[in-house]
Amino acid sequence: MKGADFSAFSPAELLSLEACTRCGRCVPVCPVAVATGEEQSTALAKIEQLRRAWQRQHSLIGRLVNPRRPPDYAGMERAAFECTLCGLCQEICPLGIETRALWLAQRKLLHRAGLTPLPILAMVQAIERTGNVAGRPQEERLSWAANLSRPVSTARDPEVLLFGGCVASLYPQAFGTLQALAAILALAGVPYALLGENELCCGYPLITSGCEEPAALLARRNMELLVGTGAKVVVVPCPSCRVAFQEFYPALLGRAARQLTFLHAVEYFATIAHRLFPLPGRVELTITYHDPCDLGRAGGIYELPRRLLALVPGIQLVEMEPNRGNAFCCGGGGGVEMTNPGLSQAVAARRLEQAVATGAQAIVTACPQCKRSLSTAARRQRVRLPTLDLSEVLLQALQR
Amino acid sequence: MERLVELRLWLFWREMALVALLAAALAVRYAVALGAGHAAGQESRSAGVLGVLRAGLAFLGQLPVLAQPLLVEGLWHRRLRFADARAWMGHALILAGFLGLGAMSALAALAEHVFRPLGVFSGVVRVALNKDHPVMALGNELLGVALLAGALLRWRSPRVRLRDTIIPGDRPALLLLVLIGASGYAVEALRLLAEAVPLRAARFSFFGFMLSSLLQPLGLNWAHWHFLAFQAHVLAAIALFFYLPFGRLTHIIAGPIVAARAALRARPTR
Repeated sequence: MKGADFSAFSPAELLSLEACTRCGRCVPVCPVAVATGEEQSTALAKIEQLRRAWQRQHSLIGRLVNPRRPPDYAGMERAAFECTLCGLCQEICPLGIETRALWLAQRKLLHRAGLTPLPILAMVQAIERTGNVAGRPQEERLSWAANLSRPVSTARDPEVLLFGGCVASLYPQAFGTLQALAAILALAGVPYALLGENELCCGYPLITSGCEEPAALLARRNMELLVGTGAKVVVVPCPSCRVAFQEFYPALLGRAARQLTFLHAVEYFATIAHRLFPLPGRVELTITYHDPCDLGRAGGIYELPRRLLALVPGIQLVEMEPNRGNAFCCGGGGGVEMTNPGLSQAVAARRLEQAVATGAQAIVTACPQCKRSLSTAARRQRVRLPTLDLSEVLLQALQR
Repeated sequence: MERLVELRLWLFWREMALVALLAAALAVRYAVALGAGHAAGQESRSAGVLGVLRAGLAFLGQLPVLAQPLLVEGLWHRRLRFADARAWMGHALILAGFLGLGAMSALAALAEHVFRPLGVFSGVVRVALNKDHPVMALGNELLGVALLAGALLRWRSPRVRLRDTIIPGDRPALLLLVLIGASGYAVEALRLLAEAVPLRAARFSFFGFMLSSLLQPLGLNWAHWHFLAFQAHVLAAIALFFYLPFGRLTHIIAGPIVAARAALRARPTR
């Protein structure tokens, strides 16, 4: 087997492999290590693995001593795809090493070596075949809208385009998120449109699996569709879609990706606050807020959802420990749900414990995938603690 | 005595030239390795190296903007201070000691080998030329104490252990730092003895003076021993340089760059 292809790493990323001081601060906080005691997916172990592989191939001493030894691909694959990409290691690193970028490059390296795990490859093929991560017929993309008391909008000149995303559109556990979001837009009098069965996966799962080429194709098609609606603002309920649109698309498409404004629902609620607040109803509930990794650590949005929740009469917010930048992952990211469902659930169970410890009556989050993971964990642990989307809480207060 | 001083300086400058040449060669080799890693399988190696050079130039071009994060994140280590005050203190003492001693040595060398031959004897040059001047003597002594105290603080820091991965420890590097500091005091003590510096001037080198007082009854050829101690001091510094790629010390070069870049790219939270 030949050496690893490090061209997926930028020079700055390669330099950051050397910058790691191996202080080990990332080890005890890594959700995978905490939930399972396994350390192979910690940033320290992965950086060490990558650094050694890189040095063996490219450093003078490595080339002299052992030029033909291939990297430990099996170990690398396991470590790479049992990481939830939560980014807590980046938050905790004293140097602020951009670890998420390293893990994405590592997955690209593995994909080029033909070492993407089979469940991930199946997901990639499903997206290529059907246009969505679940591999379901595209006609089902509007299943969430069936039986709604208010029909979904199909405005011709929409103010915003509601991009549902695969998880909220196709997984029943997360339907409530989109239903509430659509209802809020309608109640606020915002003319919005949907792509319906034409909507395609944003490409986030492809990029985070290291498959950049199909992701670029999807990105181009999505941009054409989105621009074609005439809307200038695209609202997404899913923080991962937001990361794809705001961060990955510019890297894939350049300037073409900057024709539209992409906002997560909580960001959009803040822009239409004058149409939503004050809220007419009360929601008597003690809640705890779970920071989604892609909205918090990747997007820097921590206070906005809390401020929105504080405006809901009757809501009492109790914080989980840890929270905000240090929040524990729900286990639903990085494709771990596909490669190692048990691990994903173990991480979710740990976060659920932290939520239970607050004494809250419900978990509120702003991510359909977090909602799915935490709801599933609660069901499996037989814990009566529902997970709601922030939109659902807002809608309750708007309707009463 | 005169011959030994000449020989010491002759050796020292050749050692320094050799180290500088090797450092330059290693830096070029490192850039080539980065470029090769970056370009493998995609473009030619030279394209990769050019990519690294471009990234380097882009980094230099950003220096005015990077100056603040480079100081705050790369050298002051704001994030480490927030996360672990004790580790930060050890790190800061080592950094201050190492950089400070390096700056003092460079200043003394500049004064001796550039300004003196040019006949420039301004206030700073006069101070730098006089090893027994309170500023030079006290400065070197205190910075040496900082270096040793920092190394001791870091010595007790817990070593990270992973089940499947051997993480190189800090201790070989710390040992070399302690050797550099300790041999520096030995050099100073033996210089005081070899040059028979009077107590009035020698007292500012408090550790060096104490050590020289202990050694004096031995009645050795101090010039000879000073020569040997100086060589040991320089060799310890060179050993640390060559140890760089093998332990955790590469972060002293890559760390500040990466930390400054990350701070610059970090988005504000809301």
